[in-house]
Parts: sequence; C-alpha cells; structure tokens
Amino acid sequence: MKARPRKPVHGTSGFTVAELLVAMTISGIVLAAVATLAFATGKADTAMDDLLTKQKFAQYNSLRIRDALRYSRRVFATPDGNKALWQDVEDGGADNRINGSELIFLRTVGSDLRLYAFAFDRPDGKAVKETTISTLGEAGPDDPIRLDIAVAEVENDTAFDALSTLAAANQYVRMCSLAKLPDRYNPDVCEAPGVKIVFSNVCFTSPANGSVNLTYDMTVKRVNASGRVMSQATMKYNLPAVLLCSANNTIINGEIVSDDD
Amino acid sequence: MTISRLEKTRRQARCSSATLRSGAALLVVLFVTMVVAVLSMAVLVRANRQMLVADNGAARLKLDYLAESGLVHAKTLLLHPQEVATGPDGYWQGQEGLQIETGRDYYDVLVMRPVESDRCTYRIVSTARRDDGKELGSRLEGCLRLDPCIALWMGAGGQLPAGVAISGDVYCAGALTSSATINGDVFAEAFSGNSVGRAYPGTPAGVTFPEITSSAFSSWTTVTSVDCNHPSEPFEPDTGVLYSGGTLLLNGDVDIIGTLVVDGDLTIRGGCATIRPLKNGPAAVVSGRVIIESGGKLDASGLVQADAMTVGQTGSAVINGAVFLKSGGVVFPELPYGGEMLVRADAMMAAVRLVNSATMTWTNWSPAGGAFFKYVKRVEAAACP
Repeated sequence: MKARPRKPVHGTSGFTVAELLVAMTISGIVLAAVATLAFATGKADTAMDDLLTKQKFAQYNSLRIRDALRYSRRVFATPDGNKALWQDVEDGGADNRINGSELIFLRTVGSDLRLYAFAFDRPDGKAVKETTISTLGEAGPDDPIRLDIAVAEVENDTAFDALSTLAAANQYVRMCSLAKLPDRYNPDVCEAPGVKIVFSNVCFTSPANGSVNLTYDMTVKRVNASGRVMSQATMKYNLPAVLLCSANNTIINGEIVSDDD
Repeated sequence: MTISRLEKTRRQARCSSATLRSGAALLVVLFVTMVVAVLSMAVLVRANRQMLVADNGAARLKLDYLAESGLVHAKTLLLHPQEVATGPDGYWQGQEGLQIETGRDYYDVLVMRPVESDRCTYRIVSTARRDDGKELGSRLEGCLRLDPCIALWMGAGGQLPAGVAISGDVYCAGALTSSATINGDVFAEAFSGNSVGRAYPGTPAGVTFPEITSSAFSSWTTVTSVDCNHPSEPFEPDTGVLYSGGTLLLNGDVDIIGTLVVDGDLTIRGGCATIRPLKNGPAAVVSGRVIIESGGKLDASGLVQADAMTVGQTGSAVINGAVFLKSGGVVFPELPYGGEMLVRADAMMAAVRLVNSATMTWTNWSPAGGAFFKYVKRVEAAACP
C-alpha cells in the first residue's frame, strides 16, 4: 500500500495572520495600559512617599520644638524675631542661673526654622573653668567651661553669637542642631524634582503669661524635572505650648530673682 | 467509514484550534493579573509601612502626653495628700502600673524628696510605657515646688526674735519685724528683716485660715487633765481626738497620738508635749492661746491652730507642719529669746480633711496654695525599664 501525503487540515497548524495581528494589537494595548498604570502608580507612590517622609520629619521636628517650648522656664525674644528658650536643668536643676548649656535657640534661617543647642562636655580629671561672656577670652581652647549668661545677653543675642564663636574655638563646646524645618535629611532629594516644603510667616506670640504660640505656613510644592512648580498647597500651622515650668515671675527688671526659699 | 473518520478528524482539529486560542487568552489574562497584583502588593506594602510609621508617631505622642500626665498626677496628689494613702513621711511616693484608660499603655510615677529638711520640694520621675516599655517608652523628670506653702500664719503684727527659724512662707496680717531666719517668702503688711525668699507687702498669701472648731469632730475622748508622769505610755484615744472643754495644762513629758482639741488655753510647762496626729487630722486645735513656758517644749507633726502663741524665754517649739494663729502672733515676752523654735512647712503633714457631720460632707485644707515645676526635662528612653 502506497503512502499518500496527508492534506493539511484547516486550523490545526496555528493562527492565521489576521488572528495573530488582532491578538497582538489587543495585547499591545493592554500591556501599554498596564505599563502606563505601573509607571504612573510608581511615580505617584514615590511622590507620596517623599511627601509623607517629609511630613513625618516636619511633624517630628515640630514635636521637638514643642517639647523645647513646653519644658522651658522662660522664652526670650531676641532680635530678628528669633527666640531663646531657657531650661533650668543643669547643675542639679533650678539654680536660677542661666547656663550656656541650658539655652536653646529657635531661629529662622532663610525659609527654614532651626533649633540649636550647645553641649558643654566635662571630661573627667579636668577642672571646669567658670566664666561669663565678658571673661570668655581668658579660657583656652582646651578648658572645659561653665558659662554664666545674663538675661540681657540672651535678649540682645550676644549669647548666641558668643556661644557660636565658643563652639568653633573650644574643643569641649559643641553646637548641636536639634531640629530643622524642613529637615535636610537628604539634600539630594530636597534639590531633586518631587515634593518641596517651604516655611514662611514664622511668628511667635505670647497670648498669656506662661504660654507661647508658634505659627507658620507650610507650603508643599510639586516640582517637575525642569523645576517648574506643578501644584502647591499652603497649610497654616499653630503650635501652642504652655510652659510647664514657667518662671516669668522670677525675672524682674532683667534680673533673675529667687522664685522662693 | 472513511468519510466518517475524516469528519471525526476535522471535528477534532476544530476543537484543538479553539482550545489553543482559549489557552492564549488565559495566559494573557494571567499575565495582566499578575502585573496588577504585583503593583497592588507594592502599593499595599508601602501604605502599610506608612501606616506603621504613623502609628508609631501617634503612639510616641500618646506616651509623651502620658508621661506628662504622670507629673500632673503627682502634682495633684502632693497638693491634696488627703486623697491617697501616703508613706511614713506623709507624702505620696508614687505608684507603678497606673493607667488612664484600659489598654497597653501604663505610667509609673516615683516621688522623692531630694533634701529631707526641705518639705516643699519634690522630685518626680514619670515613665510612660507600652506594655513592659521595651518597645516604646517616654520618661520625664520634674522638680515640683509647693508655693506658697505657709509655715507660720499670724493674724496680727509682731516680732520674731533671733533664734527662731522658719522654713517655709510666712503670712502676717500686720507689720512684721524679724531677726529670725526665714527660708521662704513673707506676705506681710510691712516687713522689716531678711528672708531668703521675697517679700510681698500687702499681698494675700493665697491660703485661707482653716477655721477648725471642735464641732468639726464628730467624736472625741474627753479629758480634763493629762497625766504626764508616764511618758512611755502614749495617749492614743480610739476616736483619734483628745478633747478638753477648758484650759489644759501639760506639765511634763507627754506623747499624744491623735489630735488635741482644747476649748480654752493650752499650757505646756516643764516637759515635752509630743503630738502626732492621724492622717488628715490636725495636731492641735486650740481656741485660746498656746502658752509654752520656759523649759516647756511642743513637738508637733502637723497643723497647730490657735488664737495666739506665747513662748517663754527658754520655751521651745519644733513643728513640722504649720502654725496658724487666728488673731494674734507669736509673742516672746522675755527677750533675748534663748529657746529653740523651728517651724518647718510640711504640707503633707499639715493637710487636713474637715468633715461636716451634719451634712456628711467634707472639705480638704492645706497650707500649700499652689505648686509649680522648677524644671521638667526629658530623660532618654534608653533609661526606661
């Protein structure tokens, strides 16, 4: 019996060109849609992540500032709308003397709001030199220091300048940045397109004795790659703080008097 | 037969082609579903992480406030020690495992007196924690000062000689001339002398006179005289109150555990009268004068309320609590004063609870008019237990 080649049966060897074209076109459209969705979702997610991270830092730093305000004995107004906070905690606490390490400075730097403190190290075996701002020149760069500051020196900002100079000159004095709003947690991100946060209208008010309000506007901007602001929203913030250990009654005519006994 | 086989083969081929097409669609659908699922998962993971961060921030804030609550809790109970069981020194020493609401968050409060002789300053450490604190904690330390805290209240002007020491604030309704050591503020119409604190001329002290009378006590043990020949056996009346309807003389050493109420004058002669009241009770309520003759001594832990007080040249008084004199002052008829007079303000010992037996209501009174924190500082969470 002679073998005869089989005639191909229609439809058994694959798709027709038309079927393939239609299927590929539909698949292409679907995949393009999915890719677009994935890209857009990723971008939105990154932007949201950036915003939330910045907001968390802003929130955290606001808490640091609120803490500093709440636990201060006194809030002093200094030039240029800045503030100095006094926490009487060193040397056993509540000795009614302003120590350099007890001052926290709340200052606006450009569109930032910053909280500075100065740490005074006291290494073992080295005598601590007690100084005032006027006698600060007598201390050497290797002398551990205890710095007494007068009310007037805080109020006219001499204290901040003296402490900044001291931190640069003395190895046992360090300037610490406790909080920055917005937080420069990552300078690259801050300068990159995405979300930017700007502070403005920073203002302090004292509605009542022993309480202080810190108000500011926080503007959140969406910036594209060319630096163009795509959208922005401004929110007003109010940080009211009651000074838990207010000592306003102990400062009379610029001098600290004993609050009691 | 051949035809039917061919037809069967054709049918199978058509069926196979349809199956292949359905398989491709399924693959496409599976692929798209997988991509969408992966994207959704990524978004969910990020959202979940943000939620955890937010939860953590909220919990931290809650614990910070809870730690502050501990400070305020302690402040309230130090101003109102009547409300709580206190230690042997009369003040609330704190408690562990306190809660504002049922849940995982607790706060522990520890109250200490850093300088034993200073009864107006307290160090408070408040630790807020979630469960055992290993996960989250917040700790604050504060120094609380009771102020004003009256040690000596005088309803009339007078003179305090050298040798008298007052640790606490002084109120005087008239002019006060002092050579005494006053470690506190002075609220007087006019003040001449030195004090470690500040003078507030013509300023109310912020503390009212307790106005305790014998009617404030619902039951008492009446005495007409006190046998002072057995100093080792203290008077400890069941009622907690020893009452004398007229002038009472304590002539020798006597130890009273409870409140001494005298409708008349109380004279202490030639011995030491020690009075240790029960919690929330005054040490002595005398409608007339307290007269401490030369050689006599009054040692009281609590509130001594009288109309006036006279102290002989070598008479002594050591009072940890407060002395409130309604219409007179402390009179020293013989100068120079050679005895020992020390009045140390102790709001914990002097705080009283007055019960109105007719209405069965009560009011609390304390020589402390207020309190403020001298400092509050955050202690690192690493120090939490």
